[in-house]
Amino acid sequence: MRAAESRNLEYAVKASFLYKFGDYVRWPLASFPSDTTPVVLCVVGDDPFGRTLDDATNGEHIGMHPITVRRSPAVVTESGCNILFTRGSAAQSVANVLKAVAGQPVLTITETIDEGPRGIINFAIRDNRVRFEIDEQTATTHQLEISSKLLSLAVAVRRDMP
Amino acid sequence: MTDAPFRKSRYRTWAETLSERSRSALIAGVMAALMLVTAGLILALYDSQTYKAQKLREITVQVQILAASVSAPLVFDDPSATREYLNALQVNPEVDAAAVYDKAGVLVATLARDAKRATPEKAPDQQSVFADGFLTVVLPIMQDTRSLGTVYIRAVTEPLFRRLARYGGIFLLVTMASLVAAVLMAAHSALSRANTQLEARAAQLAESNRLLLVQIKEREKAEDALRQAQKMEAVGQLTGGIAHDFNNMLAVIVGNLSLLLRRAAQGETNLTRYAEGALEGASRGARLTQQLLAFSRQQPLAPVPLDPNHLVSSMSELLRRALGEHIRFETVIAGGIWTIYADKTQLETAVLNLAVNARDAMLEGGTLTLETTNARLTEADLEGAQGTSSGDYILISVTDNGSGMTPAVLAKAFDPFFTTKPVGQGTGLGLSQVYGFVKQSRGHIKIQSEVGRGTTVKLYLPRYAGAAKAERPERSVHNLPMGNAKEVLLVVEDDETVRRVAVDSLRDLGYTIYHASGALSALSVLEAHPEIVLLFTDIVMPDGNGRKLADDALTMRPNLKVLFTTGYARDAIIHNGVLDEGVELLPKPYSIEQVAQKIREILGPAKP
Repeated sequence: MRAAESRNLEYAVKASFLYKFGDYVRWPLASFPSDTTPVVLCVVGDDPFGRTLDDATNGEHIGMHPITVRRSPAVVTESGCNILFTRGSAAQSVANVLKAVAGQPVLTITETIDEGPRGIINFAIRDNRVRFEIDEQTATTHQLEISSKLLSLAVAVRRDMP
Repeated sequence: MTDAPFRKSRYRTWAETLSERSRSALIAGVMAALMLVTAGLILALYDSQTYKAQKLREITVQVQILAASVSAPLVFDDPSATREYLNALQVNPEVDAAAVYDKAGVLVATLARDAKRATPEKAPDQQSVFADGFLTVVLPIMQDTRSLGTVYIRAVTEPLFRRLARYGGIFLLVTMASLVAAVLMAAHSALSRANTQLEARAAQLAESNRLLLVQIKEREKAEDALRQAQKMEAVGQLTGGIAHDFNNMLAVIVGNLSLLLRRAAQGETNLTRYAEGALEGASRGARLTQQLLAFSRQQPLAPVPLDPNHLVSSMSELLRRALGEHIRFETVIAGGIWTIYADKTQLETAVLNLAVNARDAMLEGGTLTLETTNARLTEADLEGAQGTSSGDYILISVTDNGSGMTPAVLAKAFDPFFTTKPVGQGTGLGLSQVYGFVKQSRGHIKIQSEVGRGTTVKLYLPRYAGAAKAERPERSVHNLPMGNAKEVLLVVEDDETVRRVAVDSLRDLGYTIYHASGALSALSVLEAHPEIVLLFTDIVMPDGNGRKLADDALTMRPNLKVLFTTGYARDAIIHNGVLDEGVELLPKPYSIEQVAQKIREILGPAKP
């Protein structure tokens, strides 16, 4: 597979994962007043997905909730996002994005490769497959509960230390 | 086919040997077992249906669990995780093959026990099917309303045979249990049968015991008869000598009385000594007859305390008569002799038998010594004789200096009917009577004999702790209990002479006497004279039995007293050797003292 095609595939998979994660995360009740309240999926900063993300989420649901995709160069604490993917940008670095929504019931997702800042879920490529790491500790501070099913699929999990 | 009937009869015999109850118990047990087996089969068949449903449920659950497990791996496209969950099914031995397919129906992971029975390449459509001993369940993996993929599991179903085998074990146990119950019942009925048999046997034994007791009684009766025969034998020995002696006594009486008459005719008044001489002879004769009668009387054994010396001296007369004049008779009596406890008659008979044997051993004459002395016997002396123990004994020994006995004769001396005397001269019962008596009295007997020198027979009788019964002293003439004229008696006696003497004697005593010669006349006299208080009658009379007379008289006069007299030892009046209660008997011959005493006794103290 050529690099471009491979990259397309990678982000197609990642795009589907973005909303699929939603089935394995529990938000606080206040996040969704009703069953039909849409799940807001934000892409903050550079958008590597493009149409792929819209195509992937089109008609999909997380549980009963429809999915709304929002793009913005930066976020504030009151982001209104339930899921947030960021690569950072000149406007706001990944670290600042994460700082902005710290403690909020937002599922932060990053694709940091090196020692940089990571969200609750961080994509990683293993054996040519899209994998992910999960920081359960941060999820807890974000008032989020991650299903063990998802945790078991993660290649690395950062847990709460007793 | 000649075997078949034989075999069948064997089984039939076996079946017949079982009792009715145990057979029916066995049949009941077998029936129960059969019923249980049938019920089991029905259950198994029913179970077969429920089994299928249950199996389906089980496998479906497994599929659902697997589906739930692999849903996330499928969503996030993690085939290794999918495979991991699939492999977990390996531990279930029922799972023959399993597979997971993605939502396109493409195989993601597979598991198969046997490569020949691999999973389908594409997800099949069927939901579930039982085929060829396998149950196949296929279910979609749903998330909300979306299908993520398909799960396939093929499981082994337990063949009916295996299941029956499983149940079969249980049925076997139940059958065994019911058979055991049947056997127990059979055993129980066999036991109760044996019990009944035992009871019957016990009843038989009780019956045998009873018969044995009866036989023992009969034997005792026979022994009594033997004793009597022995007594008669002894008596028989005497008759010869006795008859001779009686003649002598009669001669004394007749002589004295004729002298008396002569002297009286001559005018002599002092005739006392002739009368006394006659009386003396008569009383000696009377004593002898008494002893004879005592012997021949059938009496039951009545041991009493006896003084051996007294016995010996009272027997002296008799023995002297038995021995005859050509044999010298000596007695050696020890002072302070102890008392023995024995039947008087038996002891007298024993001594008599020994004396007679001694006499027959001394046909040319000789000396017989009768000795009494106290003795102490040790275990050694007793020589292990049964029924004896060491201690104090009284020895009564009879010694003669006659022909003696050889050791061979000595060995058989005590055998009944063994005799060395020629036919007609002895029955051989003598020594056996002595032996029997000694053994009965728990004593010991020993014979010492030497041919040509003589024989000593020693009787050891155990010492009795009490005292011998004192005998009543005879009253003298001057102490006669008299009667008075107010006491009226009736004397009944068929013999005129005897009657004359009786009437005279009684009148002499003071009584008023009426007399009759027979029963009939006696009754009319009784009727005519209500003042009669006592009836004195002979028993055996030609015209009427004295006993019957007494009964008739008593009917007429219930308060009448009765005194019988008789010359016979045995009579209708005496039963089993014991006088009827209330019956008074004065045996003949009696002296005036005896009749006076007896009548006084019956009438009670004289009223003034």
